[in-house]
Amino acid sequence: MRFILRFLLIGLIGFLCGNYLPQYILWPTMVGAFLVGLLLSRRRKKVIFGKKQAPANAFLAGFLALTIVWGASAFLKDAANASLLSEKIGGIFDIFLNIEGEWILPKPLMLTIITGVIGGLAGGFAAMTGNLFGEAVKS
Amino acid sequence: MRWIKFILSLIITVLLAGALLSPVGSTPFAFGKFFDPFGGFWENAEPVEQIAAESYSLPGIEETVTVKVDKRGVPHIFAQNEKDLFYVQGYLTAKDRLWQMEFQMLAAEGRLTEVVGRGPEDRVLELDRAARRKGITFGAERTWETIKTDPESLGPLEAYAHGVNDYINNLLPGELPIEYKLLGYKPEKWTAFKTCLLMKYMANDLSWRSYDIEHTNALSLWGKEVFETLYPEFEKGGEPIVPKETRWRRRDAIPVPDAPRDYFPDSLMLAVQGEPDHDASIIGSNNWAVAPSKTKNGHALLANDPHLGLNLPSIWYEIQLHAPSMNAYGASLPGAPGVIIGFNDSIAWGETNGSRDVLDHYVIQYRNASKSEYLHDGQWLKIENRIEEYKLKGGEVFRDTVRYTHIGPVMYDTEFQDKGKPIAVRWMAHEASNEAKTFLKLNHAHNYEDYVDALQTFNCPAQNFVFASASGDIAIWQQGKIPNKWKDQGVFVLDGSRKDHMWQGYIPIDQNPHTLNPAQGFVQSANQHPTTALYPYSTRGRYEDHRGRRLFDLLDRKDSMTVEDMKAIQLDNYYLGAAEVLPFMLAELDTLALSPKEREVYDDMKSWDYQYVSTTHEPTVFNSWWSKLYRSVWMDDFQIEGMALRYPKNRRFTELLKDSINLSYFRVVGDTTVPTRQSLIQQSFKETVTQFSDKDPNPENWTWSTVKKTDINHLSVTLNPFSRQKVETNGNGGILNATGKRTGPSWRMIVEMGPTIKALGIYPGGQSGNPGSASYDQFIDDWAAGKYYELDFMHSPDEEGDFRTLTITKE
Repeated sequence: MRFILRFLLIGLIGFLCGNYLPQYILWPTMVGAFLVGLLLSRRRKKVIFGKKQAPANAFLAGFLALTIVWGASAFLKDAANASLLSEKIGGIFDIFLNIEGEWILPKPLMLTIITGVIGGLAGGFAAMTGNLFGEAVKS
Repeated sequence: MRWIKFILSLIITVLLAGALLSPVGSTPFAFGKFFDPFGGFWENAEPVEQIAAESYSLPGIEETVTVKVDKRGVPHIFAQNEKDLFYVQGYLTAKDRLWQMEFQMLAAEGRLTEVVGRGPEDRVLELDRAARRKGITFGAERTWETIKTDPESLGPLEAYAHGVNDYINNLLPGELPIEYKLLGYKPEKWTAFKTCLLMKYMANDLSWRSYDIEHTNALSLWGKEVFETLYPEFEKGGEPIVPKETRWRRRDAIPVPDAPRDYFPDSLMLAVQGEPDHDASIIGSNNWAVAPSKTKNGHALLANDPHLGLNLPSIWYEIQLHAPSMNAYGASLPGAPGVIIGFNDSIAWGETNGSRDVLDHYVIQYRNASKSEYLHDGQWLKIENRIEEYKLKGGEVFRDTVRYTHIGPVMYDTEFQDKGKPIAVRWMAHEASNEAKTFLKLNHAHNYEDYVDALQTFNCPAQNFVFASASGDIAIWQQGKIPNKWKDQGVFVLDGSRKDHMWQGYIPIDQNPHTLNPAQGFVQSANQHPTTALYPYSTRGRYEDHRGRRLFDLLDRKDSMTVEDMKAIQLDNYYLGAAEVLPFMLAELDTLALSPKEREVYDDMKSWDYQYVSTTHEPTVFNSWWSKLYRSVWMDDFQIEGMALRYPKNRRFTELLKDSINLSYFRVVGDTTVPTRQSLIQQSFKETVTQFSDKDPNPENWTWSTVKKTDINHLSVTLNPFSRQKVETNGNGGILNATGKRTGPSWRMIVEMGPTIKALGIYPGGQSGNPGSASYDQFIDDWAAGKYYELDFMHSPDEEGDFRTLTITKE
């Protein structure tokens, strides 16, 4: 349950930041994910190595939520643009995103995935840090 | 333990955020910003489908402005007053072209290093240093001093700047043009001064050319007679811009200064050797107007196609400007109010480069090593130092002292592109001028008198202004402020210590070459010589001859001309240079000594129509054959280590080749056997056939497009994926369709000046400067295919049509 709650809240924050904040949103989104991680953390009775790791759970929720929000936004913009720009931007990153002159995936798709992963990593780590902070404070 | 985990996780998170939010390594941008789908490059991915109507309010206007944006992205601005009109022109131009406008001015000011760094082998820094040592900004500052006291030009310039700035101020980070995001910088405020800079930027593009140093070297090496043989002032049989029979009223002519008798530039100037540039006469333009008596519909026709370096975003931005007091349509320069080449209800106008020599070089003699004083007219004058600072990426600063004499800045010395002696430049663009005013007045002009009045403030670069009116007048003026030089003054390097070497006054403007309604029924220019030798003043310059004669011929031979004829002339691929020399070269060949393959090519060339069409192979063969022959004759004489020399023009070589069997130039340096003209022609032909048949045995496959394709490069040079390269095009330099590898017709326009105006136009680019927009390179394929668009010259915002409507109200 908490996973779904984390996932939905972080996703919502990412979406709202993107659409209503004028500036770059990486930093505000991370703060949001941190807070979600913090607020949904619980005092744990003992440290268990195995299943039901809350920090890992928070990471995954943050990662998936923002990967989807960032990736889907990029995907929609790319589709509306008929990949005109992503093909060109892909050309600029040609040097380090291909193997022997061949792109592993089509440029627009590759850039969409990279976008998603950047958002996801930021969201995941922020949420996990928030969760760990909560656990530390509450213990 | 829990705290340790938290702190570890926090450190990773902060490091990650830091890495994503600050530039890493050599990339100037932050990944977390650049890939941000709400503010990064994805935000520049414009939806292909645009919304139909928009309205917004802006602080700088007084009354509501309606803009109709047509299918091709051309804004038709309808304002209630001119201040609003130019304000909205600035705003919309910035919306489409902000990065380009600013980048061009960084180039003019010599500030490119700030945004792209010093470049490989310091090439960008060298470019910047050259821009500053030329004194481009120095000239713009002087111009600004006059413009700021002239309300008639200051008003539009400031309204335009205000519009640009309101666009910049409203810009959200995500809306920044993609180039700013990639290169990692932000736009500065636009100013009216920058429009002055833009005019000097164009002057640099079109009038910073001179062979003074190369000529001086040639004179020193070979003497005056050879010099005159290689570089005659007038071409035989040329068609000047003003009709040959034009008489020059000499009553009010001013005296031409006497040439100093004791001057002979005998000292060698050394300069870095370049490649032969006999074929580089590609920057140039065509324009002409046909009188009603020679047109089918009885209306004057006007055509113009300026050949410039081809880049993206394009140098031109198409626009219509309507206010109660004016209605102009045409190509504008991003950065300047008004239309530069275009038409209104009464007149049409256009420009080609005048190519006059308005740049001279003076040897400076310093008093001592401190370089603080120099000799002039027997006195030691003070040098004024201008310290130039170049901000490099990463906070480093490079400093350079530019020394100003009363002649102009010392361009070359031991610190920059040393020519052996310090050389100061005197350049017309250094002077105060008001070119922007000319265009603003042309936008408003109703007749010939208004047009002549508009030209009065146009100094540099000298342009051939063609004119046609709805009332049936046609005219051409070569307008510019031209020094009244003594014979051969400025053909060679001059002596900065002598008073009689200075420029001594200017040719009166009303005596500049011009003609109104000449008997021939047309006027034309294609960067050729403006006059015959009967013109009383010096007309030295850098002229092109083949295009002009072809243009004259095409206009002269036909009556009852139509818009279709105008198109055919702009797209004409006939190379007169080949027509004049190829039959001779073919006749010289010893056909019995040819191999079957050579014979096959020989037969093809014999039936060639001299058309440079991309899918044919004859242009490839001719070009290569001519080039090999040219090199075999001239390279050994001209390729002297460390010495810049000017190669003779194709036209001149053709004459020399035909005239003399045993020209001394045919002799190979260091070889005692003298090859004959015939043997050189034979040899270069064989080499050409071998070169191409080694690659492909079938001559049909040696198409012209395998040798010449056109690259339309992004202005930044470094962001190459934003370029459109290898565009297949007909034509070449020296041909009316002067489409070369990097230059070509940058705006093709044809206007029929009837009761309702019919106009066609196209340029190799698109209205939007955003590489993420569908209209970024929208016109290129049609341009390459020789197509035109009908220009929608509107008279009211209520006209029917397929438009997007922008309603701009006062905030």
